[in-house]
Amino acid sequence: MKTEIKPEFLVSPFLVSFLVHGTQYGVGVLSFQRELAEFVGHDAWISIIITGFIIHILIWMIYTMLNNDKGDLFTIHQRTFGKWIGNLFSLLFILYVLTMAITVLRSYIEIVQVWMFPLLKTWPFALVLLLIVYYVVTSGFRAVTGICFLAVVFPAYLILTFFVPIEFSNFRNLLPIFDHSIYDMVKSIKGASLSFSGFEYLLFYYPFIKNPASSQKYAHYGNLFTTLLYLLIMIVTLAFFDQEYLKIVIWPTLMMWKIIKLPFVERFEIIGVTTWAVVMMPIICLMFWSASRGIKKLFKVKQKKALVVLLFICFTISCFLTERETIQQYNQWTSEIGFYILFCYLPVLFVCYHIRFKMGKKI
Amino acid sequence: MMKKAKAAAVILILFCAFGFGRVPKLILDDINMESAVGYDYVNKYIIKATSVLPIYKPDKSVGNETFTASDELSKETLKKINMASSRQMVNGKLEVALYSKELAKQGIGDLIDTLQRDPSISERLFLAVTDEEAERILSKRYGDRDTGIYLSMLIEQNMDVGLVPTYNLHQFLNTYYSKLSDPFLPLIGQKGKDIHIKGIALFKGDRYVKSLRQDHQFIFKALLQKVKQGTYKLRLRKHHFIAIENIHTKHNFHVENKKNKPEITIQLKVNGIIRETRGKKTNKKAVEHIKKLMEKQLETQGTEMIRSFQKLHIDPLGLGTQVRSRVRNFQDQKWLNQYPHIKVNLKAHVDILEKGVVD
Amino acid sequence: MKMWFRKNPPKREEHTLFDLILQYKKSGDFVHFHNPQTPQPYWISYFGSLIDVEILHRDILPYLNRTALTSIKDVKKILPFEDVLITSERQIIEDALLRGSVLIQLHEKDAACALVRAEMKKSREVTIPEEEYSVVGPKEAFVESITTNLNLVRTRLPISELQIREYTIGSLSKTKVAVLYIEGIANEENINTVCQRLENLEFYQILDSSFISQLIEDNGNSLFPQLIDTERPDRVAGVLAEGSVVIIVDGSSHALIGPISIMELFNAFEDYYINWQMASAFRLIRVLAVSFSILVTPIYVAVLTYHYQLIPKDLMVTLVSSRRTIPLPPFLEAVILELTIELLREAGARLPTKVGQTIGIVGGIVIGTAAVDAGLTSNVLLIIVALAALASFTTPVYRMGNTIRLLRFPFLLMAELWGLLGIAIAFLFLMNHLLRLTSLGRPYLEPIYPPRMKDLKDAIIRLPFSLQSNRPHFLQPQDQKRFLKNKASEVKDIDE
Repeated sequence: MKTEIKPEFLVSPFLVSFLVHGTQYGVGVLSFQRELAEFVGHDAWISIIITGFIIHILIWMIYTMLNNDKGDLFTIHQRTFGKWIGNLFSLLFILYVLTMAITVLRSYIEIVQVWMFPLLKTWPFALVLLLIVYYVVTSGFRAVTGICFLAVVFPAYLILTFFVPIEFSNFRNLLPIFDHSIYDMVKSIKGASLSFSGFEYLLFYYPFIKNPASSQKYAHYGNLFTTLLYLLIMIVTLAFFDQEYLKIVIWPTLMMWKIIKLPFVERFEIIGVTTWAVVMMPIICLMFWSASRGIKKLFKVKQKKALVVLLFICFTISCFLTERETIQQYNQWTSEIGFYILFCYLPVLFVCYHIRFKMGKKI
Repeated sequence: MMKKAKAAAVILILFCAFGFGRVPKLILDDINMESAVGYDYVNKYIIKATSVLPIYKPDKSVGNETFTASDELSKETLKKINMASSRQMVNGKLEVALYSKELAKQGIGDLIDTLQRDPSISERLFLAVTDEEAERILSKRYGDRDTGIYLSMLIEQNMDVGLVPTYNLHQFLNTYYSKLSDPFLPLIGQKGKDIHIKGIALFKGDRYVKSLRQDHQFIFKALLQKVKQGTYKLRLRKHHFIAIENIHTKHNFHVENKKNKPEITIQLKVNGIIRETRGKKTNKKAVEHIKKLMEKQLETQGTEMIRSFQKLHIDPLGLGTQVRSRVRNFQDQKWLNQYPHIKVNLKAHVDILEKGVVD
Repeated sequence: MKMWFRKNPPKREEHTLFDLILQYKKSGDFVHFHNPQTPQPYWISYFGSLIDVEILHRDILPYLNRTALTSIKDVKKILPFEDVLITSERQIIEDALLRGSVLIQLHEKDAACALVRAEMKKSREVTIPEEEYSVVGPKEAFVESITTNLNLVRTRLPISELQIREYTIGSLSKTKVAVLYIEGIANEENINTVCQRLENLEFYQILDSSFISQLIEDNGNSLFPQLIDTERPDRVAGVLAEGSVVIIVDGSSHALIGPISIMELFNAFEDYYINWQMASAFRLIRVLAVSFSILVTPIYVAVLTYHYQLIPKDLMVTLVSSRRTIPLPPFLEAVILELTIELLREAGARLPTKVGQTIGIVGGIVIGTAAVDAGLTSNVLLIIVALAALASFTTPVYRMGNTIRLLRFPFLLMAELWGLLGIAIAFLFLMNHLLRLTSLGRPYLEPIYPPRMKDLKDAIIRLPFSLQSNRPHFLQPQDQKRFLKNKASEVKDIDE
């Protein structure tokens, strides 16, 4: 049943680090600090390290399954749970991808509306963004990877901007280290899950990697880079804001940019929000690519048609999310789903797959 | 067929974007950018706001225009001011916000809220308290730029090389929201035709309580941050003074007996250069004497100042945050109760690096 | 290639050679005469406008008049030409006549005839390159004759591996097109792609190599050139040695190079004639200039229309007071100025050089100053637009400069719509377009994406020759190594 993917559509293994990092590093970066600091305060940077470590284990799980199976999510599901139930699970996973895509898109539009154009209507802007998504995704996986790569390379200058707020920072804020209970730490990991999600699309694009087994270390590098970057941002944020103040700031990263002042430009947050259009684009693209490819495999329809339908659904739902509170609610909801899918479902799938595989061998 | 449909879709989307996606424009020369705003107390519910606008003229000179309006909400005052203005008022280039002392006594928390909620306001905005009505200060023109820019340059310059600690909106909010430290603001007063920085206004929460004594300003800044380019007037005897310049300082906190009743020791290191003396030779012995004297003077000033803070239950130096960062399971309430009674020691160490080109 | 070009010119109905000659005789410049006075009378026919009369009078007629011919085959013996063709095939005769051969017959109705090449060589002298002028380095440029051009290339690459495949393209123009490559270096796939596309090409007329490039480019709707045209034989020789494929077209003074990557559009060949530090610096300047040229006016429009917060307070006075009296919004102001610059360029390009220069000066100084004085444009924008125009001329490839100037307008439109965000969106479109683009099937953005560190050595910067021991990877050359690294790269201790 498997059709081999032509070699000209494959991407080099080392690009996997860009794919993994590029999809993790998204809109969450602008606001993840608050959710973490809510539970663990100045120890939030520790839970970043712990979460990063857990993600490494999850990546290892995914690779163990994929290397064994030489397929993707759909073959794994089918092999583990049988054709019908497996496909049902795949469909649910695709729905999860779609909800995530809506979250990313709507959150970004919200940021634009709050920080740049309060009177910007959601739908024309969403329409244009989705047009780009269509253009990218129809160019194929190589172009999606390319956008991912460029979206990591071009905005890399933003890393430098995280060093500027240090002028107004107080690193005493970070002390004393490990001042919170383990229970609080675990709770904060839940808050971090949304900003770390993105590696799970490995399950979709694994067959498109040249020598896929050799790409595992690059996936780990990608995640490592994300973790380090989050760590940097978290530490600077904690030093820059007082605990109590941080609790009421919705987008701490953007607030940090506000302090930046260069001889030729002030108010860096506007440039930051603009650059973020480039940063979040590949995430949406990869999500839609994954989802439409999933639909193609499940229902044997043309990927282009599936893509158009998915884009339309995404467009409609994001237009209905109008208020800050609804968006917040929706994001929380997806974050919850994301947490359970990544941190509970994936390990369960891993265990099930291995039990099934062992049994299959015996028979 | 497919291709035509696609092209039609693209054109439709672009049409939608250009037709419905338009956002209101703020063309640079069609807006009035507030550069300073001042708030005055009218009565318990109503505040009076004064805005300063720079008027840029085609010949590159800058004029000044002031508008005043009173209302319950500060945003509403902006709207009222807008009614009087020929161009749309925007506040994205706000440089300075002034609060009159009288208003500051009533609390400025609600007025700060409009500043932090608005994404177009810079985090580098300077806040200050005025000795008299803010309107009076803002309605005059100083220097060759408009009043807002002039004020911000005045404050910034004094923060860089003067005795005012670096302190912008962001830092104000940090200390304002923190339970363990209290904000302070520069105090601006008018002297004849000019305005000058009179000192520092101390706050408890969002209320003004007291202004810092003039002779405490140096030690206040030195204990708060690193002074990089300070000057210090050392009193030898009556009418005998020495100016120490190019001072840079460093301080260290030590906390003992953390669990029950913390005891704080602050070590202050001061390096400076003698620039001007009145009737004093500067040989080795004299320098030694100056050092000792200065250490003692700093220590008394510092302890005095901290005592006064403790009496007022305010903590602008952020001693609480210092203790918090050294104590596990720190309890805010317990500390706040303890604060007026804890012992704070100050140990100063002065080094005179140079004494100019003559002995 | 395109349906409506497939129609051939109407088929002629003649059957014999005599019919053909009668057909040609309708044309005024066709000469067909009989010489009965000689030992053996003969018929001679040619296009007077195609042949060199001197050759006819010096090398053909005297010999024919002197000797008695028994059969047509004797022509081969008596004439001092190495390639006299004896044939009776209509198609060959027709082609040869139209390319400047002289047709000799013993009898007017004979089917067999001799064809002697006597075409007029009317090529211009090899001159100095004008578009790709360089201060250092060789100063020869291609001319309009394919033989001269091939000669210019071959003398630079006197090796047997240099292969030339010839095609005749164009149902009306019958243009000779040569594909050059070095066997053993150039990738077979690239050669095949070029040859395949040329073979499939059906077009009525090829007047210049740009026709070919427009017709065989991967994406004809793209603004970006996917083949480089160059007038420098040294550049052609250089890229051939790297493994590229080159197309030379008769009648065109530009050769086409492919596959290329976008970075090559920023490379002047002069970069290889100066030392590597300077070359790298110049390339960086060009890349910066191009980004500047595309983005600076849109950013001006975006910031002045939407993002006044971004402007530092010290710059504010300059910007606002320069715009105080301007009646137009920034977008219109920018568009009008950009169009004025385009106007000046277009007018300068259509006029003879000397007049063109005058137009530039008059336009630049007089119109510019007057517009600022009249309060129609702000002087800040005038500086920006002029700099942007200047920057667009730094690209060594002429076609790229046009692309840049045109690209600015969509960016301007988006800047007008959504400010900086619009620019970011336009940028995303551009990026994706470039990602999609291929040149002869090779990725266009190459050393950037797919990222290849090795190729970066000669892309945005140019490292010294000693580090360039490998050929560029994106050409997928059969032989990767340019030269073997020798001991020169060994690290030596002090005084050793």
